[in-house]
Amino acid sequence: MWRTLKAVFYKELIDAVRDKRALRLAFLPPVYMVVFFSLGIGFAIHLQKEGQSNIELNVSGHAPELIAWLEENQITIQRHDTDNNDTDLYQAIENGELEFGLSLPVEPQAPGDKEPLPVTLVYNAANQSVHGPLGTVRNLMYQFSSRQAAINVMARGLSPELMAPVRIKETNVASEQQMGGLILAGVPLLLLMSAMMGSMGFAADMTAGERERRSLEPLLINPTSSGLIIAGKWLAAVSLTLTVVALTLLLLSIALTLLPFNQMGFRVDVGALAVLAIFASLIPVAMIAAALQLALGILSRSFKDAQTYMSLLVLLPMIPFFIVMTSPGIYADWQLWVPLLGHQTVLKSLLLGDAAPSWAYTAFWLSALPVVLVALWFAGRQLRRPKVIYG
Amino acid sequence: MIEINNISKRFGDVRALDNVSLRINDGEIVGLLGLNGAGKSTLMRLMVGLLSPSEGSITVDGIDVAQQPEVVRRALGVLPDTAGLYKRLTARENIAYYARLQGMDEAAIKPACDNLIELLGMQSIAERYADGFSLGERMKTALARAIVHGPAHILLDEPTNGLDVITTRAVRRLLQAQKAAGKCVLFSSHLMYEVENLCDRVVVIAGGRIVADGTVNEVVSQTGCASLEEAFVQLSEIKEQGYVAHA
Repeated sequence: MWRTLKAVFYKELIDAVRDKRALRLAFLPPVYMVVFFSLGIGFAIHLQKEGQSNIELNVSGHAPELIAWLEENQITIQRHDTDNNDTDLYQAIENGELEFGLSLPVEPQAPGDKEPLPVTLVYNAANQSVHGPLGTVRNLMYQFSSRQAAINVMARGLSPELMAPVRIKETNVASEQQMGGLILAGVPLLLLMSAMMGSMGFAADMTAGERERRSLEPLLINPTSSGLIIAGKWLAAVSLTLTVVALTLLLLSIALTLLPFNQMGFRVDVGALAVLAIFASLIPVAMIAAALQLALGILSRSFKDAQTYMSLLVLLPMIPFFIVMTSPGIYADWQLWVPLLGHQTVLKSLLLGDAAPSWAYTAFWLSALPVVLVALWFAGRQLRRPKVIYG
Repeated sequence: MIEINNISKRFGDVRALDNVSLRINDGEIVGLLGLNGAGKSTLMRLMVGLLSPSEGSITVDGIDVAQQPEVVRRALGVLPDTAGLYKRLTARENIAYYARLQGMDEAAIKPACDNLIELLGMQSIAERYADGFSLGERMKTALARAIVHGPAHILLDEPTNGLDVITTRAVRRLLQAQKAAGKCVLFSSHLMYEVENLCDRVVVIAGGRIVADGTVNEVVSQTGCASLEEAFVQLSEIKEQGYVAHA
């Protein structure tokens, strides 16, 4: 029995390694997924740097002290006066020519005038990109306002503390690594997808390919149980998937080391142990993926059909991804028993530098086992159906 | 010895085989003749247990195919009509894979492969990937892997399709050697001279029934024709018409 299993396993491995088409299908996606991921993160870092350092404020009217304060705080002031422009500030923002602006009194206040300074922040709230810089400008103006107030109060011999019955202090307790987690939310999805897709081409060739090249009938004429044949194919598919996952992890570790996360003010530190733990938790996923692929593949007449059906499997990890992304607080212990959902959660905490609960791996294996067995049993039964052999 | 007892096979409303009985004795080469769709391949598929009969039973050396298909498959060497090879394996790897699936000893596999490669004149293609093989080269490889385990009995579906004269002769010698070793050999063919030269017995199948069974001379004289080809055509046509009228 073991010899037969070994024979099927080795034959499928040799067949797969010589299959250029399936090799491309398996080993290219990890490469370009990681490359696109790195480019995306790199671009985000670039944008954030740019957004913080470079706020341009369009100003009409005059308030020299306020403008001096804003310029002191790295805001670039752009004059936008009606006398040298066709449209005034309001119209320009309404038309979308400018993003936001500050409208000040036309005549500067006389020195010593203690009337409140009427200023108007003009913006279109429907424009999402406005909110970040707008908040910075608004904060600076509140600061300016309370500073002026404090000076006035002090001039009358009172303590400026009277002005602030409540003092708000903000403390962000998120560790630097956890901040990184926000950015890394997509990484578990990337890893799960690579585990789900890894052996797609190989599994298609082992099942639908066997039907397509009409080698299934002679194969089944051998005194070998269909269960052994499927098990051998499955083992080969799992080994190939794990190779793909290992490559993805390797590339990803390199990318995470090289990306300048410190420029965004947080640290991403995925150590060798975490990488190993991630790999271990992906093994059950690879087992499930290979079994489902074989079950779907045997129902397909041709390699192309099989690929179409199997590509639906790639969508499976998306479901837990959106569940976890939209409601991050709903984590519960039972989730670890749901394949893919549990993995999503555990991969995320491993990337954040936390340890997974030690029983998580047991849960992964135990929950994967029934899925694998049912899928392989189904595939084995399909293999001997006359419709599959001769259809 | 292979015994087929009152086998019927229906696919929905279509009767592919209708109450077929046939006995192939040890040391006998039986030629199976029939038009396309007459039921030759269905009969072979039933004999290896890949299809199950609607009625009747088949035994190989007394073992029922339906009850112990794996034991029977070990005793048979079968070349089915769909004989796809693994294109990314060499001819030798294709043959050795089936030897392993048949459970042969690892040490015995190489000599068995070498023997067949020499016998069928496959030395030049043995280490080449099957991808670019011609019809004849594919046929030789498929034939070799079908009988690499030295089966007790041999079933071949059109084994000389696409083979050149030299290889056809080699196959003929191979089958005669099997016969001399006391094995049953059943092979289907469309080539009348092939059957005349090689077979001890001819079975003509038409419309899912056996319409003639005997030596070449017996079948020819049964129909009163001059040659096997004419006898075959006559037997097949009568059956086809009768079948249509009956339906």
